[in-house]
Amino acid sequence: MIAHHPTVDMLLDYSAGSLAVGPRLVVAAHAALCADCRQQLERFETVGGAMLSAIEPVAVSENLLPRIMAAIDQLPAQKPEQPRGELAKILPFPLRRYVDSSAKWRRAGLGIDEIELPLASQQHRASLLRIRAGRSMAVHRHVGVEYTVVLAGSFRDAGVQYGVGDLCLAASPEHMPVADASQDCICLTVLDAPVILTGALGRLLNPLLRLQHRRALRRAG
Amino acid sequence: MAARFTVMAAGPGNVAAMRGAKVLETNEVRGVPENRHNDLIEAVALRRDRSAFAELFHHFAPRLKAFGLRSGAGADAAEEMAQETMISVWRRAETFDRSRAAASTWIFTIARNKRIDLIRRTAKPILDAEDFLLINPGTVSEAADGAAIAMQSQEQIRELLTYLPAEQKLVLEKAFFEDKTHNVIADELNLPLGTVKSRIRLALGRLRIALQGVES
Repeated sequence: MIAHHPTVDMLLDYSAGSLAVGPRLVVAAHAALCADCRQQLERFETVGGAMLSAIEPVAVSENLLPRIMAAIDQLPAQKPEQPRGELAKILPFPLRRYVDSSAKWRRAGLGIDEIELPLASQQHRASLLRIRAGRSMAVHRHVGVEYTVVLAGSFRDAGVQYGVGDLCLAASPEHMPVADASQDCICLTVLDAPVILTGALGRLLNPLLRLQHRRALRRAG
Repeated sequence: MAARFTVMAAGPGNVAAMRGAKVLETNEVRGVPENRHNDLIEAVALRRDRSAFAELFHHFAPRLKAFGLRSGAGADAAEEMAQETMISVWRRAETFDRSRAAASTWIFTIARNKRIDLIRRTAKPILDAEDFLLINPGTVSEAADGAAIAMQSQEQIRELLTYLPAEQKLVLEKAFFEDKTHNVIADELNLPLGTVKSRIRLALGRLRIALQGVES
């Protein structure tokens, strides 16, 4: 039973297309596991569809249809999906395309492994984390918000239990998730990139912030 | 599957083709050609039907262009968005499932993703494979059920939209058409964030009346 969901605002921004790439992946992964949120997204998207239907049409160029038809004729045959390895099989479908069969866990701390996902974003970083059964992440600080979706196993943080599908939204500066003793916990985690400061002092401080961000990631992961 | 067979038997190929003009006219009068669009997308999926695709184009491309323009794109970029969306309609037609979403909802999700791709200009388009309306039914572990009346809800929503107070409609349009977060909308309209949020909630509250059917 999934108990921790994205906020309604996040779902709405996802549906409208204004959610940033990082949190967007978080919502997609959660929704793949949560029928309630899928239904909620579908409702919001239905509003989008109704609005698209009701919009005042604008004439398109006469050659647009022939152009599209020509493009369709040039489309390459659709390739069957590449095998993506064992890991992809346990991932919800929105995450599968980010790992291939060469993806390997890299040690990121005591009892913690990480696979960084190639997210096309300057602002957010996404990783898969594996916390060994019973182990905890070191207490870590966030520069920004950290989103975590549990994909396997479970963890406790600040007295709250998070199981498969649950979204943990940690805006608090410090926390320390502990994996359940019975099995490894695998999560998607998305972290806000550090604030980029401007000005002379900022240029001096930014490398430090980036370093702190990478360290935070490494500790988190 | 049953639904698709029904389409083959009574779809645009025969019965509907004979009555096609009339059906379309009746629907257009009610402003609801959804059923026809569902048939057309399925015809593209099943038979790569070019005339069905052209009909979808004539209805949706001008709306998609309008959608692009509302997003702040210039005329060329708006047409490019319409073009990319229609190409995805062709490519991904198999993933359309009328029991999950109305045709315009499905096309909206594609257009929304194209808008994100075009705005971000990422080398690697990121989104279609992440959206459950755009993947093959069955890939999601649990089928999103109970959406058989998706279309009916959509018709109701469209009608309810016309009754929304202008200020609520405005914030919805900014959210859905202009790709704006609550914060940006608040800035633009010079309103407190709380007011924007409550207008969106009020609007959705009114519309959700029509959506409750999906739940039960």
